[in-house]
Amino acid sequence: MVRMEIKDLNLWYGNFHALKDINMNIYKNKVTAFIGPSGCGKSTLIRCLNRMNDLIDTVRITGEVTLGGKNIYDKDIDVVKLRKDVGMVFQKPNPFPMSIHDNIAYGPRLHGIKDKRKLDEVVESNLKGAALWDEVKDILGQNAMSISGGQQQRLCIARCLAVGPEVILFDEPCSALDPISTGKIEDLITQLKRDYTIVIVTHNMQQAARISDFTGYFYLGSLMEFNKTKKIFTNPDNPQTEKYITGKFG
Amino acid sequence: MTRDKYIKQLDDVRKLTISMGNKAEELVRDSVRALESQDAELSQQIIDRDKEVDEMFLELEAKVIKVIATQAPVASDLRLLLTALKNATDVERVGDFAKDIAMVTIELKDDKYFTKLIMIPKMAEITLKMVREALQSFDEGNVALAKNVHEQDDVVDEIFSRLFRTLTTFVMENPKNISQALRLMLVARHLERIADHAVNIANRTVYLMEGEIGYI
Repeated sequence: MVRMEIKDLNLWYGNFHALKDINMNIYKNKVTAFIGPSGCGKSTLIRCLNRMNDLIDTVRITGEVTLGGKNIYDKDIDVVKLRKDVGMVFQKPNPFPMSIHDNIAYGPRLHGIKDKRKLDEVVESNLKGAALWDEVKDILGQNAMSISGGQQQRLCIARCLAVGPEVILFDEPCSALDPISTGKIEDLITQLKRDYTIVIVTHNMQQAARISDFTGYFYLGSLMEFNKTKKIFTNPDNPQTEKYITGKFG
Repeated sequence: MTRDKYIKQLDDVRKLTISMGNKAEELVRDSVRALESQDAELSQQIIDRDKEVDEMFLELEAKVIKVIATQAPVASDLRLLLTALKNATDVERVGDFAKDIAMVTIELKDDKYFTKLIMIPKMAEITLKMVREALQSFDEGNVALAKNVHEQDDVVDEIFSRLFRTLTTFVMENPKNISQALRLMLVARHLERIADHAVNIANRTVYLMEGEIGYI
């Protein structure tokens, strides 16, 4: 089932045409990976999915991105709610400079939950959801900056889950992590897709092959090939996709 | 072009598979020649030379494992490595069959053949052509040639059935022929199996080029 639909999407940074006629679907409860060489537009595209590009002055966008059939670029869209529904986890873990507990409680508090017991429940369930609870349950009051990079990234995922998104965008979530932490995040993403729709940008081909259901290959702002991941990594249709994933190009 | 070392590793695997195949093919040719001329000395050499094929198989297996472990190959590169490894298994069996034929020759070296060998060399000729073309189809990625290999298998099977009937007749005519007939039947069976291995290799060329696992 299609959760988000990208239709004839074009994006310019000033005069630079960064995304060209992108058409693709993001399927519900699936992991969709965007791959391609640096500068191909994959991060730009993922940022279009929750209007993060609105924050850049020179950006101009045409086309549509729908969430549940509604164009997120319509004038009546509440962007704050959109970013709650379509959460994002970044390349570098960016916990707030406050306690582990408050990192998770921050979003729900902003959205009106004041009851301490309710907030504690939210913190516990989301830390469990991000497979971090067992490691931090005794140090919830400790500053979030004191835990390891891998733990910080899972904390950021828990923080994202705490506001109840439908779709989670991951922009190279493991590129700053060691292999063990990477493995934990990958396991987590595989678990999360039961309840969420996931989009991930990654430079790690094997990561895309391991965890995604669908893969889009981008080059110079165009979507060159979009298909099931199994097909892309065993027998892609486009010879250029083949050259890229086998490391002979890019 | 990037990843030069990786590309060379892939090329080495392809070349090693082909040279292993050429060696096994040569062993089969010599084994049938030795059978025809009842040459026990050549047969013994074939038995010894089969070890070279076995060693090449181990070398190829190690190379494939190393490339998979260190280079994370995907798509056509992965298909090449898997195809090469599985083809090498078939080729290694082809070498073993050449050795088995050589052992039959040694057992028959003092016998007088009750008939001139005609069908076995004919079968060997087609079988060897199949092995050669199957390997060539792998080397060149030539699907049409692979399909041609498949068609020739029916001819080999047909000769095998004919040979079975002929040898049965010789046995019925004179029970003293049983031992020799059974041994010649074994040779024919080995050749028929070699042709089947050639078909396996040809099938994999289709997978290599088109990514579809299946039979022609």
